[in-house]
Amino acid sequence: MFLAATMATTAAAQEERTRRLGIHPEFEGIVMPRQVVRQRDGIEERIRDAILWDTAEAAFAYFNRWTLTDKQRQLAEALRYIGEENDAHTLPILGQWAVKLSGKTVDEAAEEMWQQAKARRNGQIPLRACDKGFKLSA
Amino acid sequence: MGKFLYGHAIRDSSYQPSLTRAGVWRAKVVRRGDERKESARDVRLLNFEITAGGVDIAGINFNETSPLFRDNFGRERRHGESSSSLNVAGYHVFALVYHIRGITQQQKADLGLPIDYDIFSPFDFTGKERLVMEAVARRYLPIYYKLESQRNIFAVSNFLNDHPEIFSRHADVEIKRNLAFVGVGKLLFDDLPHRVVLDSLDKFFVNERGYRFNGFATDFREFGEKYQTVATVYASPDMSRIVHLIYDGRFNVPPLILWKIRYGEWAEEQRSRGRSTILQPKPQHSPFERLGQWYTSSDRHTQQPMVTMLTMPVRFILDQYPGLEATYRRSLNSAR
Repeated sequence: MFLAATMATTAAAQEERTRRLGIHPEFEGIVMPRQVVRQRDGIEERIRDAILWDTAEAAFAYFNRWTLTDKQRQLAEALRYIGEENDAHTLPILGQWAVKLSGKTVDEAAEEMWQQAKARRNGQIPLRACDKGFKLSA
Repeated sequence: MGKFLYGHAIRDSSYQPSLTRAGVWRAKVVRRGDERKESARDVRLLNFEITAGGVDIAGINFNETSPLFRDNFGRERRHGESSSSLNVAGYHVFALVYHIRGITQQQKADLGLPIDYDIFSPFDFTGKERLVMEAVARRYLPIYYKLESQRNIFAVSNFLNDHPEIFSRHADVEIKRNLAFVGVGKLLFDDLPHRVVLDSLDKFFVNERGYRFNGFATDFREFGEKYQTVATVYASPDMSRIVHLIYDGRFNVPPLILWKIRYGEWAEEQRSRGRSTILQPKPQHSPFERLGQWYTSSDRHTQQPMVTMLTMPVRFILDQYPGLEATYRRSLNSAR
């Protein structure tokens, strides 16, 4: 009985291990493989020698080139765009914030969001508690 | 030099970038707020080769002090227990790129650079700042608990890649020339059986069909995590025909083939098959809704509109070799 259970568990574990392909996407962006590819290389070799330009990293670096004033202004501009164009679909996360703070002016909403981000970054709002406590519905 | 990175040289706006071998630049990147308590780090950067005149990158005196640093550098990044590595151009590479792009003409002259010197960047966020704000909000603002998965750095990249307007003109050129693609850059086959199957299919497409391996793409993301998978991509030399090979255990089926044909080739494809096919609308809830049917879609990997069909390998083979159809039907009936 014990042996059968052990075998079943082992088989299940192995199945779990082998059924997945093993590609774990961690980064995504523009990939530029090397132009010159040795003919007998395997596909792994070909992709290993590629460069991945990570899109999110690029956005964060771009964001950080702005001055503090620019960051706050761009946040307000994004909220203003959502309000004026009624386009929360394109920017879903900011769109939710716009809905949540719809009773405030754009500048007030941007200021509140900025303070939230700042508090969170400084560790004043724990990550999980912050998310769980964040009620977007009225 | 093989393990180092390769870069681009762009001297002026008319220069078409191409991948070239060259040396390595180094810059002292001083960071603040690093949880690893490293006060400074030498970052090996993508080599943006300068075709006219030399430059001491350290002379640029680049300091990155933002707390929003990311720990993916422009250098090899190891994955798990494997010795394989992926060259990721991450936060600091981009920070330096934008820093150099922000240098005034006078500063360029002082550094010995041509005054029209430009540096390659695959992204151009000018005028798309709200997308940048959305990306930052996903990562750093409180969001719906049920949307927690959207905070993942991969999800942030996914969101941005859905907006190809952020790709720079040079990156667009590279993608159209089939020298770049939009997708994932990591490959790590853990299990031998899949590896063998994929290797044999790799040989089939490359050696017998004349296709070229074209990296990896994320497929079915629009249907949610239940279906999202990564496929190996093979393309004909002119990129008019593309095959995504889907071999993901979550579907518990043999390898699937996502067959894509450029619109311009579609009429010819129908003629060669001797029958006309009605294009179906794109599936809404599951990629399997249109199994074996052609439908219209847009291919993010190549940034092209495509006619698409998800099919089993047997259908793919029978389409290539119609003479086998009768034999296949007979064998199928006898097996039943």
